[in-house]
Amino acid sequence: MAAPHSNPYAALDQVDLYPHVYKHWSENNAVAELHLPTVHCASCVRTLESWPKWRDGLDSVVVDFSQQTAVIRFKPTLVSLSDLALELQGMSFPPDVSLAQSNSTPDRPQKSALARKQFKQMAVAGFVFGNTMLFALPEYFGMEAGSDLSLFIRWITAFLSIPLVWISGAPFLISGWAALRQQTTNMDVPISLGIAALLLQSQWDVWTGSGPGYFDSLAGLLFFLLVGRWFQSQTYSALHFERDYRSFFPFSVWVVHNGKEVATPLESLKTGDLVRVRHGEMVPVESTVLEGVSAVDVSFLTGEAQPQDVAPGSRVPAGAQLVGGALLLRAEKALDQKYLTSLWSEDTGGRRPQWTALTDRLGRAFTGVVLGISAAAALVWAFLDPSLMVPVVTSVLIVACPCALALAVPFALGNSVRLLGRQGAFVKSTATVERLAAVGAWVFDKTGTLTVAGSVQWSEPSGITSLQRIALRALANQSAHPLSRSLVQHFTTQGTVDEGVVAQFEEVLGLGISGVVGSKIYRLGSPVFCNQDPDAAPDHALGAVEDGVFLGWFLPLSSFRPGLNQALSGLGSVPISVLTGDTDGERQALLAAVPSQTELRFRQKPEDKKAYVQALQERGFSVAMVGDGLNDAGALAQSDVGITVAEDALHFAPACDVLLRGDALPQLDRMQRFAQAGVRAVRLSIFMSLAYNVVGLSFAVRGALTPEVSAILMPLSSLSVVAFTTLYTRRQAQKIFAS
Amino acid sequence: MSAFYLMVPVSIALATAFLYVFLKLNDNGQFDDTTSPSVRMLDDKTVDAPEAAKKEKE
Repeated sequence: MAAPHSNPYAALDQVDLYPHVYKHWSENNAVAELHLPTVHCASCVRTLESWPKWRDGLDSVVVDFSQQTAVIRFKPTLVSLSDLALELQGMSFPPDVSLAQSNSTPDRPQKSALARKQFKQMAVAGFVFGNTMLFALPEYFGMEAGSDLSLFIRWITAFLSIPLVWISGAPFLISGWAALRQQTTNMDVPISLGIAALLLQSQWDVWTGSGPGYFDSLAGLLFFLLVGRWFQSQTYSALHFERDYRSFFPFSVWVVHNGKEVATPLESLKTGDLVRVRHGEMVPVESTVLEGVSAVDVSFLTGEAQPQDVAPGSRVPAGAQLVGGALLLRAEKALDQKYLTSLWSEDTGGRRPQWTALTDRLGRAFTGVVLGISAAAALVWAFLDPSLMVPVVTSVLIVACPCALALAVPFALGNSVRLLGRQGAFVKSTATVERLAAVGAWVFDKTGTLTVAGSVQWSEPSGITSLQRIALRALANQSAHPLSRSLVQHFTTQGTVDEGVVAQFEEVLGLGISGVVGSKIYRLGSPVFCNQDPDAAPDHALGAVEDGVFLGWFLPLSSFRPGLNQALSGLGSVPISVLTGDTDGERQALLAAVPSQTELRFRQKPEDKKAYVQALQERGFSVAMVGDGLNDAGALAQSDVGITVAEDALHFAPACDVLLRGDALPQLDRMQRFAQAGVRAVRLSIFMSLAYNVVGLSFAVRGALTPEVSAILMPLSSLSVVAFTTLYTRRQAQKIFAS
Repeated sequence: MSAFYLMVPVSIALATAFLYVFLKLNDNGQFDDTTSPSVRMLDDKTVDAPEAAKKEKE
């Protein structure tokens, strides 16, 4: 078995530490369930499940695609779970052993519980719909009304409506009732009124023998509505929009105790504990470096793109990620969940503006209109013929039930969510599409958002020769420091060949590197290392010296995403701002990458970004914040639409409304245009369903609404709205994203 | 026409039986994951995987 420190998952072998992972454990048989967030396609499932064929000691792997988990059965005597986890990582399925996995298991079963409930409601509604329609047919086709058989069938359909409303109608009635109790109205209020009117009128008809009732309409209504609800809930549930620090912190850390490393749960880490952290791992708590020289990436915390060098004595903040050699740290604080949570959600004063979803606004308007018409019809019929007053009012409520309207939003916007996902924008909910369509001001973070994270280009000193390039490339190639690595990458893309041979290489930690290439001594490093005045040097500059002669500075240049200028111009003449935590050293490069009217702000702290968004909102703008790191978390939470740019699904991402794939950012203008098309589809289908309602009402107020008319109108309006919104959004997606 | 008095209850009973089976399977999680089983059946040698899955659940 591998030495514990070489395997980042070694702690997994401690069964008592990971009770939530092990379903069963005995000497020769163990069952463990791992969360594999990168499982994303059918062939992943196949790869994983065929793994036991060639891996000794592994009995079976069963993947649950929807939950992204794998149940692994293995023989602990032959193989350890940590080895399997490491191999999984090698197969690019790194198991998620974060803190969030260990204590938030309840949210996963909930997801499937919701789906099961929806299936149950749809199944019952579909069952009753089919049967009731079938039994209603003879009567519509002129079977002798009032015959024994027709009465028998009426009683059967009346009986079937009980489980129908009890199971399938419950979600609408409950939500409508809840809204009324909070003295508001939503779309479920007029729907509930319609359901109640349909049920009571139909039962009355059957009990008094006056007609077959509207049971087929009722069942169809509920079935279509439930399908709409289910469609709307089919969002990117596998992505986590509300991730907090627990998703990024490991469940256990290596505490050095009497010279031995012991896996310890993060929660029981105490002040003064010695902690070993390795490359790529997260510093769990604020600590001081005791041993080792390395660099930490704090870009997620501060937006600073360059890694910071650390040496014994340096203070490292919680949440910094190690890039480079291992460190021995002394914990200065115990895990402070409150502090970390506040860091992530940055919930300090200021609330994001309220947003009422389109459906609820429509529901409100609709309830008023429906009640108005019912009252008017009731008044008129009170004078004409009081005996018809109640039937007319119920038929008004029946035809006015906004079934088509309630389907417009789920299908138009639900489809938009799906089509946006194909373009690389994963939207949290249908309401987010509405918000995105309404955005009137854009705020961008620079590092990692407008620029490509991790890909740094360098501007070279003027007058550098190709021979010097070869020498400096060879020199930088000797060092593992992130800056050297990035410089080598730069030289490679510039076409500088790897020919230099370095002698007498020397690395002064935290300062620079030197060595002899050919017959000349080269030095590469900080201003001090190159005998230059540090105050006069540009930020993050790397000096180069050849035989004591200063050649000039290498300056890191962020590489902006291609197509940026066009995309930002495409957003229209709305306020666009770029806020960055960096200094204005890159002002010129930034100006070239964005449209000229863009407002640029430098040296912005997280609070400044948030305040900036808030100020725009106070001027009446609906603001979208596009950011990528923890330093944007406050602004993302404050904005009307928080858009997080991520290179992959596992990238550190603060809570947001939209997860945008990095390479999709230049499509942002089109995405907004498409979101607007989605909202337009809703508006158009509102007109359609209103037209149907007017037809239905013209029957209802005359007291001429028969079950046949209702049975034809209701599914017709629903299906045409579904067909229209689906076709319209598809057509728009083709038009907008094709060119 | 009198056959309807028999046929209608029979058809409802039959449909109810199917509904019952569906709801039962739904409660047992049959429809929770509709992706992996469709892949699993393509692979000859993992035909016993559902059995293993069942054992895991116990």
